[in-house]
Amino acid sequence: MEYREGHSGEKPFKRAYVALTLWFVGRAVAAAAAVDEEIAAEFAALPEGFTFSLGVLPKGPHLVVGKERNGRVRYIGGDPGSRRVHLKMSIRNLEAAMLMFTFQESTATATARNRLIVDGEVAAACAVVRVLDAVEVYLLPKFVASLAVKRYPDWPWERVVLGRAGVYLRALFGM
Amino acid sequence: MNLSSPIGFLCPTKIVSGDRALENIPNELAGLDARKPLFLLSGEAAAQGLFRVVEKALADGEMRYGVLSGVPEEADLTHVREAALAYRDHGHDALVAVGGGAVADVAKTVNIAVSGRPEDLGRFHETGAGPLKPLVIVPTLGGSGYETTRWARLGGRRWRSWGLMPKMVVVDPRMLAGDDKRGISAAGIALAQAAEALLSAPANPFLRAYAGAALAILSRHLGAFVRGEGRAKRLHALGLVNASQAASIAFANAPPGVVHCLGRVLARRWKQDPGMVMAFLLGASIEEKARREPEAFTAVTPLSLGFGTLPTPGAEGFGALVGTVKALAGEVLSSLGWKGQGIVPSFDDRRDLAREAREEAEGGLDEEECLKLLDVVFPAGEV
Repeated sequence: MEYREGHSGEKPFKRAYVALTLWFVGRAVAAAAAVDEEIAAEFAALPEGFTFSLGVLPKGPHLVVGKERNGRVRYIGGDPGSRRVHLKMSIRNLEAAMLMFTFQESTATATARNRLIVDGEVAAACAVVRVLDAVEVYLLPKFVASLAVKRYPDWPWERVVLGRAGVYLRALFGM
Repeated sequence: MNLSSPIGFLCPTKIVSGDRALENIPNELAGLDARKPLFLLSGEAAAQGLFRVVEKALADGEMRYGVLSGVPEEADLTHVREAALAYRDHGHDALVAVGGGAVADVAKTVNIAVSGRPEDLGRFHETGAGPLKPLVIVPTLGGSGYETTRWARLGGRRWRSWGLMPKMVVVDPRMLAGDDKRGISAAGIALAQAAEALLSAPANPFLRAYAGAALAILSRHLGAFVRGEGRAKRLHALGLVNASQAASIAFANAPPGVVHCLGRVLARRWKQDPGMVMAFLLGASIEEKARREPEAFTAVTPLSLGFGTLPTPGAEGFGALVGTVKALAGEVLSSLGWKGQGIVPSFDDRRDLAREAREEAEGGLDEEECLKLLDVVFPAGEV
C-alpha cells in the first residue's frame, strides 16, 4: 500500500464568482428595502439592530446585512465585525453555492436538499428568504428568476420595471 | 400494530446521498470534530482514478488529509497494522474508506486499533468497546453488503460491535461507474438482507421502514439500472447503492438470515457470485416460506411498508411482497447469467453446509432451518 499526504486545493474562480454575487446581492437587499414597500415591511417587522449573514462554509465568502437604529437597512460587508449576527444562513460548500448562484437550484430546492444550514429564528429566516426571493426577481430577467425562486410573483409591470431600475441604481452607486 | 412487544433498533449512520454529495465531507467531518482524515482506497478504486474525483470535491474544504491507496481484496492484519501506523504517525483523526468490501473491513478494523490499544483487535466484541473514531464510507458500485453493518471480517477473523457501523455514508453518483455486474450482485445481497430482515421481525416498525424502503428502491431502480444507459444508468446506480445502505442497516438490526448465511457458504463452495446465489435461494424459497409462515407476511402488506403499491399489478397483501421479491430475484439472476442448477457442482453433505452456515451466523442460526431451505430449493436431493 502507498501513503501520501494532501491538502484540499482552492477553487479561485468559483470563489470569486460567489463573492461577487454575494457582494452585489447584499447591496441589492439594502437597496430593495428602500425601494420596495413589501421588503421594507418585512424589515420593519424585524427587531431593531437585526443582522443576518449568508455565506459559504467553511471559509466564506459571506454577506452581512443589518437593520440600523433608524430602521434603515445597510449592507455591512463580508465580515460582521463586532456586530451580533442574529441569523446565520450557511451554504454547506462552494459547489452548493455555485448551484444556487448559477440558478441551477432554487433556494427552496437547495433547502430541501439539505444544502443550507440556518442558525437563528425560523420566522426571521422565512422573512429573509422572502426578501432574497424578491431581490432575485428585481435583479434577474424573468426566465432566470423563475429558476431561482419557488414561484415567480404576479407583480404589475410598473413595480418590476421601476423597482428594478431603483434597485440597480442604488446597488451600483451605493445610494 | 402492537407496540407493546419488545423491539429495538439502532442506526448511528448518517446517509449523505445525491449530486455533489462528496463536497459535504469536509463540513460533515468538521461536525464530528475531525480535521485530518485518512482515506483508504481499494486497489480497484485507485486504478479507476476515483480518488481524483474525491480530491476535486474536497477542494476549498480547508482540510489536510492522508491517502493510503491499494488496499487489496484479500487484505489481512498486516495491512491493518500498516494502515494503523500511518494513521498514528501522521496524526489523523478520522477514517474514510473509498470503495466496498475489503477496504471497508480494513477501515473498521484499523478503527478498533487506533481508537484504543492495538491489542483490542484480539478482544473486541459486542460489549465493552469504547467509542471509536469517526468512520465514513464512500461506496462504489458493488460491495460485500457488510460495509454499513456492525460486522468487520478480515482473513477469516470477525469483529462485531455497534461501534463498527460508520458514522456516515456518502453516496455520490460520480463514484458509481464500473462493472454493472458488481452493482447487480450487491443488489442481490441487499434484496436478501432486506427481505429476510423484514420477515424476521414484522412487528418492528423501524426495521420494516428500512427493509421496506430497500425493497421499494430496488423495485424502482434495479430493472432500470440493468436496461439503462449513460446518466440515467448512473442515477439508477445511486438508487441501488442507497437500497444497499437501507438493507444493510435493517440487516444489522435483524437476526442472521438463513438465505444470507447459506448463500455466502454456497457461493464460496461453488465459486459463484454471492448476490446471485442469495437471489437464487430467496426466489426459490420465498413462496414456500409464505406458505409455511403466513403470520410473518400478514403484517407486511405494501401499504404497511409505507410506499403504496409494489410493481405487481393486481396482487395484494403478502402476494405482492412475494411477487416483488421473486421478480427482483429473477432480474438479478438473469442479469448475472444464472444458468440454473445444471451448472452447480453436486454435493452430498447438506449437514456440512448447514453447519458452515451456522458458523457464518456466529451460532445465531438453526441448522434445521438451513436443511429445510436446502430441501425446498433442491427437492430432488441432487444439485
